[in-house]
Amino acid sequence: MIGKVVNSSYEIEEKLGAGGMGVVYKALQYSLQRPVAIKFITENPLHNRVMLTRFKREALACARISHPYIVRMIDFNEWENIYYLVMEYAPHGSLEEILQRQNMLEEHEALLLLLQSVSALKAAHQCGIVHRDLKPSNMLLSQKNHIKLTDFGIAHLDDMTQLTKTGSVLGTPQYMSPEQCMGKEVDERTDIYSLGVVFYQVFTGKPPFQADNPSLLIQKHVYARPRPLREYNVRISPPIEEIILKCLAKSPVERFKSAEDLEMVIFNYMRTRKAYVSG
Amino acid sequence: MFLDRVKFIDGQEGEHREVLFLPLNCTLSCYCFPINEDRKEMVQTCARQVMPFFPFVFDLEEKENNLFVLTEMTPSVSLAENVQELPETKKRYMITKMMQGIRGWLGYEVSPHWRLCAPALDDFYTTPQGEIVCPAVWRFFQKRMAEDDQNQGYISLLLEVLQWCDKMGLPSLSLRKGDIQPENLTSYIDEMIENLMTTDSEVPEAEQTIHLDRHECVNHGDRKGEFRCRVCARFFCFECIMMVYEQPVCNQCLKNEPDKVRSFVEEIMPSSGRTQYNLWNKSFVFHFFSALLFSKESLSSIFENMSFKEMGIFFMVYVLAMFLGFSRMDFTVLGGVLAWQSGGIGLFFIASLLLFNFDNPLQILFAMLFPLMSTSILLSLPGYFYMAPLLYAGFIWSGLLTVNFLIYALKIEIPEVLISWMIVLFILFVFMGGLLTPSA
Repeated sequence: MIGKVVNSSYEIEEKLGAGGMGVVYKALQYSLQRPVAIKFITENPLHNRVMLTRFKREALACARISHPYIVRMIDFNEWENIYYLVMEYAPHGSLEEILQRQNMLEEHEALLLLLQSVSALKAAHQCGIVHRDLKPSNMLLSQKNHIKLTDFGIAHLDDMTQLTKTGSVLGTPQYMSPEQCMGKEVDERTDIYSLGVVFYQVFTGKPPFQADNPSLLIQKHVYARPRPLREYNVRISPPIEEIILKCLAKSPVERFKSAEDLEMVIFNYMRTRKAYVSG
Repeated sequence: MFLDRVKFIDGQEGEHREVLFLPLNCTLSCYCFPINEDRKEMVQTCARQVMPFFPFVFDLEEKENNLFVLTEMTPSVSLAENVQELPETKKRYMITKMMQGIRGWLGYEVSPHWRLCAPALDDFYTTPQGEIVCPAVWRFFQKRMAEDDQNQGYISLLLEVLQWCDKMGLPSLSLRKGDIQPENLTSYIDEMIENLMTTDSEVPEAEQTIHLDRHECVNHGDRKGEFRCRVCARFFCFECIMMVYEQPVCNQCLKNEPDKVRSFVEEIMPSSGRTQYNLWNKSFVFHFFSALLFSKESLSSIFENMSFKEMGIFFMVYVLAMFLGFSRMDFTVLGGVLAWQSGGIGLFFIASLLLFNFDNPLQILFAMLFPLMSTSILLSLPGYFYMAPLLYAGFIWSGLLTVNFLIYALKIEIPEVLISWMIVLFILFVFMGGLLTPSA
């Protein structure tokens, strides 16, 4: 695949990785002389219509949201009977890679990323899209290390036919909300829970729940209480701990009711942060 | 190539038209200009660079002496109109966000020939999500001029913003308007931002560049500190860290703080890993006892961590060690003991070799030769017969290890009480062996 020219528009340069739905390559967009990411669907679409529908759905979901902290969809097309999706290229890898190297981030860095993620989620939710698979590997970093949410492959779209049967479980166990684990209906508060899990890890270096197998992990998401963040990192301010633990409430009713609410709470905390630091 | 895949929504010919981009089913803006290489370069620059408020550029196409540019849709609500309606805090937030973006533009190098000059206030728009956009930003590229007047456009914009703020009644913007000089523009903008915010860390930090890799290596100041040591939390370059169970730990901590490293590993590892780590770190005698007490965990870790090939080597070496032991057998009880011992010791050291990733060649050599050496030394001693108590202990240990191995393989659950009794029996056998052997 490397070196091939796709529809006279993109030259494949290197393989970036492979996901559940496809293989992602870095390519050069000839017209604008810039790097882009191209995702090719792996399965033969004729044999797997659900896969193709999910692929299209990701393209349409992302295209509906125009936000600086969400990866932009540039094109969706077919080449040699393979569908591909052209996306904005994020050169700094993912938050997962940063966490692998640094374990946790300083509070001010983590706060900025949290704020950006919440802002991106707010935009997605306003467009009627629930991500459902928020995790560090789906949070890319742009040229300026700004968050770029990606992988809306299993996103729940308000006005689209559901691809999943009621009760089916989609997501990554480490970051799934209790209601998602139980196969219940999900809404934007599911993303708030997953964001809480991600940022618990960003602030403390450890995920809130760990287990040797996925079923035990799911049980913990449903029943176990997360340990306070300050047990792992004493430098975390109490309000941050409170915010993250509220995101991780078992019942959706006890969480922030929307990303906008969460954003306002973080705004207010940032405005008064100086007092906390000195106090 | 996008023109054959868009549908023009408004029928009027002109520089800017709204289009429906069919593959993604979304509304975008399409700009059309006469072909001009300079203009093309600017558009490409806009597309490549990530700058605040730049509209995202999707594609560019040349057709019939025209240059078509497909961009993010131009919002219809201007920033000035939108902010007017907001409460004061939000007003301050939006203006601060705008000023921080403009400050970002100031230090921006576009190309050797072109520079970005400031748009007017009316050129800023807001998206439905409250993000600021400055559409058709390539209008604001200008040929590079003398450095003296390069910030005049920004000064005009700043004055415009100040007038606008005065009009909206934002009282804390008390800049000395007459004193704005091109060379001090950045500090004026900083002062303005500070005035706009109630504290120095209010919201619009989200627009700042985050330097996740700004840390320098503690040992090599000129290198990025990409890795944070899990023990001392300082930043190091790749050369200064070692990966311990896939977690970076700096060489200093590994050398100077073994206890901290051990407690860190014990904390992060699941139980099977913890046993391995303890086995690796504790004394040789402890290996024996932990194999007796934690055989289930240590054996299960063997199967969890080993590949098929490694496991094959493991058992082949075990059989070889047993064979070597039996080859020295002189058809007495003692010969059998020696066979068991050499086999058992071989088993353990080869297991250690494969599981704990010895990185020192001497360790590997020692692990491989120890079973042979110990057997040979014992057999070559004059009157080795008197070593019987030690050999009995080896016999019992090897026997228990084998029993444990079978227990694990057959998946039999053994109560802890039974294990305790096994240990008592082990000690008794050692003493009895010591008492009985000389009389034999």
